[in-house]
Amino acid sequence: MTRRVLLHVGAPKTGTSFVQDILFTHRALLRERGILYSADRHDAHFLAALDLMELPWGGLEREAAGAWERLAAEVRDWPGTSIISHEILGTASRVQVARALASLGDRSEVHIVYSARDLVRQIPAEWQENVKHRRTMQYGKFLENLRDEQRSTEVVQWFWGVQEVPDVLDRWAGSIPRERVHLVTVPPAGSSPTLLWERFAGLFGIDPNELVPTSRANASLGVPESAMIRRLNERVNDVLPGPHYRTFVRELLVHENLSGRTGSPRLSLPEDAHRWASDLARTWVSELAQRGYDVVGDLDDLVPGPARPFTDPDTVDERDVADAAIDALAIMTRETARLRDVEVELHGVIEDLMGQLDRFHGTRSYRLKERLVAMSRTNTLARAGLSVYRRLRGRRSRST
Amino acid sequence: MPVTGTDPTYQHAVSAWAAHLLAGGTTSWADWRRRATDARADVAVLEPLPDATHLELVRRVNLEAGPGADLAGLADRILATPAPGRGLLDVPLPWTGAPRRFGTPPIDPALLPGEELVRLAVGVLAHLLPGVRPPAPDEPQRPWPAPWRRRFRLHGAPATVAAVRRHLLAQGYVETDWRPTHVVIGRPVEVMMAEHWGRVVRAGGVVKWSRLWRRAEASGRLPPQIDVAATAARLRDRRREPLHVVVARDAGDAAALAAGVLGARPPGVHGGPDVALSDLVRRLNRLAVLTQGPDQVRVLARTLVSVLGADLLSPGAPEPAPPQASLPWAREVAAAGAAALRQAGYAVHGDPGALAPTEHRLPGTVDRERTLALAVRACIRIHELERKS
Repeated sequence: MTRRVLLHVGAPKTGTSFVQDILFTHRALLRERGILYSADRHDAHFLAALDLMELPWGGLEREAAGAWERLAAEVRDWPGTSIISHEILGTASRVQVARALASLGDRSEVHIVYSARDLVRQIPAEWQENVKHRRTMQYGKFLENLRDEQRSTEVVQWFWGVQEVPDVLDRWAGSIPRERVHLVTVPPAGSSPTLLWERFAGLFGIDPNELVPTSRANASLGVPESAMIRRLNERVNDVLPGPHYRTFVRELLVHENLSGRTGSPRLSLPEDAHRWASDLARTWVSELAQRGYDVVGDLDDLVPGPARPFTDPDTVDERDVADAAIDALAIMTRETARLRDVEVELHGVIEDLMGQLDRFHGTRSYRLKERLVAMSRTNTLARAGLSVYRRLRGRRSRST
Repeated sequence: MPVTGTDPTYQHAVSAWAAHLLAGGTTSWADWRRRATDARADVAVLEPLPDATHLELVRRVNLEAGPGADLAGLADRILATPAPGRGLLDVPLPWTGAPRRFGTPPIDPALLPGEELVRLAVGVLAHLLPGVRPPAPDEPQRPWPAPWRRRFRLHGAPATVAAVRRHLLAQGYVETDWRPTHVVIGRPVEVMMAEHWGRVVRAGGVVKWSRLWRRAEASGRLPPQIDVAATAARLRDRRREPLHVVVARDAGDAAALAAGVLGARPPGVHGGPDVALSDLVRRLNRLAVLTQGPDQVRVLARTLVSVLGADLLSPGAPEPAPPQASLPWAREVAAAGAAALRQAGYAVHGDPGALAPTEHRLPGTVDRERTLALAVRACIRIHELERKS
């Protein structure tokens, strides 16, 4: 059997979480079918990517040391097809790519998989992703920076690092035969909801109807909700540690609640930015058409559609922001009350344990031991006796 | 016309410049291009082709090491080390062919943002340092606590305190919690913050200089260890032991005042906290968690400081300054501290007004060029140590 490695390196916001959820949930079944998705936790490949790219990530990197090599070792040992998938791999440099490919072994047939969506949809989605990761840059500034040819800001360097399709594939696929480079295109809005998964599944050799996701994909925020979270970041960034931000802002507020708000306008591009992004996307498509990659879907999927109505998050109606903020306050208040109840319950448990401890300390044998220990601090004989007692007790405890 | 990235003449020219640098050369890319009229076809093309950041860092290392330095192997290790974290990706060098239509735009290596070179240099250090034997913990010898020895307990600006402590212990004084004379040492607020930051990063911390200030401002107080007035108030309320507060702008003056209070000979204490060094250690800590694991962070931080021969107070280190945005708060918190000291009723030596930030109109940012210079020096020093062992 040929040892194949499918290395899915991005891009973010192209259904990657959805795909990874299916692969992780069904990893045991996939293994029976000869496909390895090696992961002991949901974010295992994310940690491996952090390790490969030596990328600090708000404290999560503490769990990542050695994660890539462990993953690569499992892949090297697997005789069939292996899948590695994380969207941040797209931003690896050539030296990192060389290290990654070398770690997979000489005898592996490596395939690069890159999923792409049209740029006009990616830009607002990336800004929202930034906002969900504590960034405070206004949307207008973000769009202005994207057009800075020198790529002076970190946010923009990251954006192009993961989203610039021809360059990502230059870095990752420079030494890979064209037929082993698979470009999966995200279907345009309004397509069948299962089409993207069918494209991935076909590439992975999986029956798309057999495996289904267990969780929903990350829904996007509306414009006033995004504006509100960006302002919240400005208030809490210096005082809220990373784990609390992830729990309360990203998960509780954004993913579990605010993204479910209906009726808010969705984020899009202003007219001039739409024109610029569309032109750029067309140059990418014509470049990609010449490269001879295996396109799973249609390159025309990457040509943006017409402009949609634009609501500016930097000047959004303050009443809508206030409405989103009140919702957020209500959510946080409920959560605070719930945690207060937990705290009260835990205090009860502590009091009960303290009572048990007091009753134990009140026994005659404990009081006698306590006196002996106190005496041993000043009395040589008592100290020697205590030492012998502890040695005897130690032996007995080891023997049982 | 082929685009830069795929142009064979570009690949040969870059590989030739790389060969020059690997042999210890220091010619800049601009000069190299002017001198080399045609690309040398006999040079093997490197794979992957190094980018501007890697090559410029090798050139900076060669410049720092000077002519004739034996750096065999170090340049190869730099080229093989990926630039960690976020930043510009695979920066191409300026070339005459059509520029690439995709990817990072070409940048003259001499004009690269300092941040890019620091980023890579820290990556190199994170991989070099584990090969260096870590120093023994620097614990001053403590005299036997005989009852006739003078007892003290120092508080306040941590680096100044450590320097004074070392001298007092050498003079036979005993630091103890049993009926000591307490001396709280205060210095200008930005100096104390820089000393505090130095201690935090040496213990594995990763907080930035600007964020350290913003956090303090958000909490409305200085970190407890350097809040001189609060420390003195706590000691006065809890103990019936002699309490003195000394405040001075200069480390030597603060040390002399503290020694005078305790009847000791004035110690010779000089220098100030080096924020560029703290910045370098912070960056290393952030990366070492990934490259070596969390339990190695402190060890590597200590090793780096030892490799550079640095102390908590470095003579010649540029004066620290609060970030511009935090300067008003620094003035405010220093004024409040000075007022509290003046009204407190315990012995205050020196001018409480010396807590105020120094108005030297510095930008309040870390000098990235100095951080880079320290990183480059550390790389060379580690390489020398490896060759000796």
